[in-house]
Amino acid sequence: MDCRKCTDLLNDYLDGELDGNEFAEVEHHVGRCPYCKAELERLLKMRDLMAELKSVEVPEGEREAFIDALRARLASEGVPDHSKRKDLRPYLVVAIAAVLILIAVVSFGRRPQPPPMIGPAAGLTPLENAFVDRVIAGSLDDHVLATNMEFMSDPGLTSGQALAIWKVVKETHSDLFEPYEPED
Amino acid sequence: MKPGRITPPSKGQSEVVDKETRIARRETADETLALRSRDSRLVSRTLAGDGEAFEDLVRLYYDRIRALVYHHLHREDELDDALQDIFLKAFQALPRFRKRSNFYTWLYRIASNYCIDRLRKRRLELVSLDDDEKRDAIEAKLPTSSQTPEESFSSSEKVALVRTALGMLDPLFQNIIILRELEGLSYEELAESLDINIGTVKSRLARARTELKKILEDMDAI
Repeated sequence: MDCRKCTDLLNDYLDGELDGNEFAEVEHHVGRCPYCKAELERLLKMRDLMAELKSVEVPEGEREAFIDALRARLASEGVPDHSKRKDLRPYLVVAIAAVLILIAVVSFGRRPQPPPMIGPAAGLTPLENAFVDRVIAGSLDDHVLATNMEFMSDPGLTSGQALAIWKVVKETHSDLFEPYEPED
Repeated sequence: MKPGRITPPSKGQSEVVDKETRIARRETADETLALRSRDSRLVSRTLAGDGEAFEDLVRLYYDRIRALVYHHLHREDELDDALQDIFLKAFQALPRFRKRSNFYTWLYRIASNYCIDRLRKRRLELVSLDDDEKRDAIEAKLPTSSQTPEESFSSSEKVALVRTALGMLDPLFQNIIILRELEGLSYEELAESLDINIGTVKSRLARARTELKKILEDMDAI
């Protein structure tokens, strides 16, 4: 174990959060390394100082006086009686079902819409704008395609054009990118 | 598991440490379950309209929450109002308490959020002071001796020193240090109280301790 690893583990060591092996390794290292031993002593001093704060005595009678005052405040502020609280879950289920039915009715018979297109972007040629539209139309639900920039592999595209198109797609369709979070 | 001596342990000693740790954790788990069960019954009775059950919960946790608030605010004159606000918030939020959690960690969360909020408001007030006033405000809290705490400071002076150092931390760091060092919460309890995962507990605690150590070193306190 090197000093960096040891100093990283010193607080866990003092907290008793290390397993047997790590605990033994830290003890072994600290036993031989003056730097880490001094660091451990500083941490122990810090904890000793913190311990000075620990004792906070509650004056006699304060707790019951507090409860009396709290009871009075609860009564005066008219805090709702929990026992009279209505269980709203059945109403919630009915409301959700109604909304779903409504959506189904409204959607029924609706013809599929063409994919959304963006207007011509300033600074791009008609050919490039057509390419942007094609990319967007084909990748609206495909975050992987968008984030991998696969659309830039078109052989007819120069690198400058690709970057310009990428910028337009990203600015006009930020929703394509933000929700995408690679898994760990 | 206090590191009193610093000698290389044998493999056998490591196994003993592991076994002791396992036994201690099992005992702690049993106690936690018993407390959770008791608190859960009191919460259910409160929700059923039994006001005395809530008073029992207050009675059980008053001292711990009082200490927590005091360590954050250090103001006797603000203590009573703060505690009333916290227990009132807890009562109002009780229908949202999930009984799978520990009541006290849930209560710690409410108290912690309250204290962090109060500390941030204080910071805003301090920002409005000019530099001389800020320096006077901090120096007024510091002990006057030039020697190290071990050499000459009385217990009350050490308390003032540590409080000043704590007060210089970001409220989030101050909060996690107080919960861990003074209230003795485990990493799991910290995660539950702060609604963060264990990894975040460890990193936040490490950063808080590093900051605190640096401040205390600057004060020649350690």
